[in-house]
Amino acid sequence: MNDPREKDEQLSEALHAAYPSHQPDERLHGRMVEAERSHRLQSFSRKSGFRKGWLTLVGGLALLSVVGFTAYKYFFDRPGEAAIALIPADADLVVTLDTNPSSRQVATFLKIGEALKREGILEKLDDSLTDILNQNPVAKRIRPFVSKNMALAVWMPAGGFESGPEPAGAFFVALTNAGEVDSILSDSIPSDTNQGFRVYNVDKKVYGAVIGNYLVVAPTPAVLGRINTVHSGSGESVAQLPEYQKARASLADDANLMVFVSPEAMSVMDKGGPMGMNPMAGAKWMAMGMALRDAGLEFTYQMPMNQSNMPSLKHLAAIEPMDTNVLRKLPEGAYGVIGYSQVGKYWDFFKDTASQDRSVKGEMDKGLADFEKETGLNIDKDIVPAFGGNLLLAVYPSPTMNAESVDGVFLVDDAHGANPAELADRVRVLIEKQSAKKGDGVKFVSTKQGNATIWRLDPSSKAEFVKGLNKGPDMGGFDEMPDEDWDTEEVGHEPHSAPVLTPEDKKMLEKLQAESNKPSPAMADKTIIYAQIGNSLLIASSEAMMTKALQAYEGRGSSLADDIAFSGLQGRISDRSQSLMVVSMHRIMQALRPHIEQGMAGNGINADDIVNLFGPANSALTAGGWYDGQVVVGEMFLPLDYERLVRIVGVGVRQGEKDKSQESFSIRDAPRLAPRVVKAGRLLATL
Amino acid sequence: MKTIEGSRVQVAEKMRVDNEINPELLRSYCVGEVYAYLSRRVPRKEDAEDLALEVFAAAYQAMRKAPESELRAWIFGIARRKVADYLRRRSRRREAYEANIDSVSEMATTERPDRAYLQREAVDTLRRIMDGLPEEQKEALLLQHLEDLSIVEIAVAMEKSPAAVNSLLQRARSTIFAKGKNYFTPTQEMLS
Repeated sequence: MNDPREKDEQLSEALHAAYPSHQPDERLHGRMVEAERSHRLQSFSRKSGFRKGWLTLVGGLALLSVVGFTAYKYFFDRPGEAAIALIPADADLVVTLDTNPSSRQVATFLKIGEALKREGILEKLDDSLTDILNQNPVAKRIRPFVSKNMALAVWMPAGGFESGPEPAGAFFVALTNAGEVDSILSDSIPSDTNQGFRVYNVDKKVYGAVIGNYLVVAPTPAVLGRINTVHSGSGESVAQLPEYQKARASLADDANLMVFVSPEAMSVMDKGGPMGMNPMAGAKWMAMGMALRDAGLEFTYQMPMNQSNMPSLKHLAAIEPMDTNVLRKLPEGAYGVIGYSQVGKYWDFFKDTASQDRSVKGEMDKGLADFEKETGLNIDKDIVPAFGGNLLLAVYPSPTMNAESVDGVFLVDDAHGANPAELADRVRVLIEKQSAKKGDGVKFVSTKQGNATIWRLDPSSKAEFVKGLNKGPDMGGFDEMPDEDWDTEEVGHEPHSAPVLTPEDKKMLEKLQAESNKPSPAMADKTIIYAQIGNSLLIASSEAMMTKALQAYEGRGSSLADDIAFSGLQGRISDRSQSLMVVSMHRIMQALRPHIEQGMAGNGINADDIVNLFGPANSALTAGGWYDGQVVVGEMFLPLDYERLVRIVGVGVRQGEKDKSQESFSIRDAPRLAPRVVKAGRLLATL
Repeated sequence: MKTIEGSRVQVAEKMRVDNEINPELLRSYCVGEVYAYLSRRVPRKEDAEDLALEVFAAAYQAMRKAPESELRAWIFGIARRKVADYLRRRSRRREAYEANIDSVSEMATTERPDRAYLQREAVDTLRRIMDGLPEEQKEALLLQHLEDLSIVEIAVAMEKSPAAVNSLLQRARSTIFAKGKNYFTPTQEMLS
């Protein structure tokens, strides 16, 4: 005990006991991320040592911004996003474009830049720009100081986007030397300083100012004045809104393109929603982002869905996440698969939503009662519970190697206590009973295979089924229609008479009909076959497909989880996803290769570039989404080989050189484009 | 919760390389070591988290101006000033003491009753002795034993010379071992 080192160790131990520490809340890390972003935004928008200024822009500058995708300088600031710190808090739509790569995007941007250079696309764009700029000396002087990062803000008219007046907009282009630009403009463009800062009158209804590090273009000086107020710190910006910050946090840190829609705009757009409900109205922002990744494009979005405005949404919020292990139950080699968890709850949602309208509810109740009377099946008690687990639908190349044919597998498992196998029995009995009434005599026969009971059409039913599949569309008969059937009384349409068929036409029709009635090789092996494995249900479109599916289900063959195209799924889809989609674009393109090669022959585009445009064999389009009770969140990854894409574009550009009648675009058009952007936003919101 | 790989010193060195800040490492460091430091000194968890956020923001903003070496100590210096400001604002040092005593008592109830009693008594004694120490002696001792800071690092954090820190530590130690002679050492022996 007299050893000082030992005493020190004991003192340390005692101090640790006397002054215990504890773990912080997990959200602390996220709060720090927000603080960091906020600091970056603030520092960018205020770091300019130069004050106010402007620019008059001609088409070439906007074009420069578009070319921004080619920018690959090693500068990680995000001036497009930083512009949000200048946008007044009441903006309804905000779009940002950042073309400075993040640290993880540097290699991708370099790759794209080199490909553009190789194809000579940059050079051609540069030539076009120079031609345009030579016509405007001011723009030519400003060009070196304009970056390829930008933002757009739109304000909805008081009565909504469709109320009549055009929305107000402001277009921000980040500058690399605001002071220099201001100086050039003040030499060349008439301006006034009535608002306390310099406003340039570029054209009729086009005003500009250099505010912070940006050239801002707006339809009125008042809009510029409000932006300047925010810049000076006297007004609140969108970036300061907590709900905006939450929406931003839902997107990738380095998203290159972002779209935000305010709660007010969402509310107006949502008017006239289903049954008079406005689920999108509330306090949350809609957000959508796209980020360039090495192997493709990554999209994320969040859409507010307010349960208090639409109580039936509770059913969607209660859906369990999709269990991706279910992919182990399907065989490898699929073109694509879509999956849903607890689809029965979508019916609950639909029914509750429709029930809000008394007349709809009445009709629906009657329809359900009729259905039950006819089939003996109650949707709520018999069908919905059967779909309480995971559901997967996968499409495969035909296992019989018939290149013209595909096969499908439908798996409904017994997760969460579901029993789709029992429902299948009841449906089979119903089909047999109903067909017997009609005299068709459809029959199923069963066999046992391991733990599975397989039900398939008996030989005569199968023959009828294939015959039905092979029967093509009804091509004949219209020439036999009486003339009066061709008349129409629809307003705005001229009545027309039946087409007069020549004997040659009739011959052609007969030939077409005969062709369409020929047995299709693609349909030769198709049938209805299903297997009950415990309480789960497996349905396949052919015997061969069922054999393969059963092998995978029972662990005797490779599954989708082992499939190289589906290997990236786990990293790309959140474990909260209630639905998923994975599509092997590469596999589909390979299947289409003969057609592509035929189509590309002689036009200069290498068929290999088209076939491999969506990445190599181990890449796939993936998508997933979920509703957490407040917002619908979605994520998608589109694999893309940028170099091949640029090569294809290069061929197009070279061919297009022959046609020089390309329209030029002017940044003066930016405010005028606001309504179109609004429409795009609304389309996104609807989606 | 993200973890930091490598030793604390190595991590601190990696937080700023070639005058470029690695925000991910800085965040992890503030959520880990800095928060632990703050949670020992601030009674409410929420306040400790707010202070950790303030330390992160201040460090992120000013890190490029930080001294080349002793980055870790520099961050602790910020944390130390934040705690001082906080305590000045709240004037609730007693609350801090009581909150921590409570948590220790809760921890002790899981032990054998006799051991728990002795442990609690040892802790109470040590806390009383520590509270009786001059503030700077106490701080230096805590930084050394709880945060594993070297004497040079403590000197940076406390804006003193290493010799002065050494002197503070010597005096703190001798006071503790003298005053806790009847309680502290025997209790430790029994607990060990």
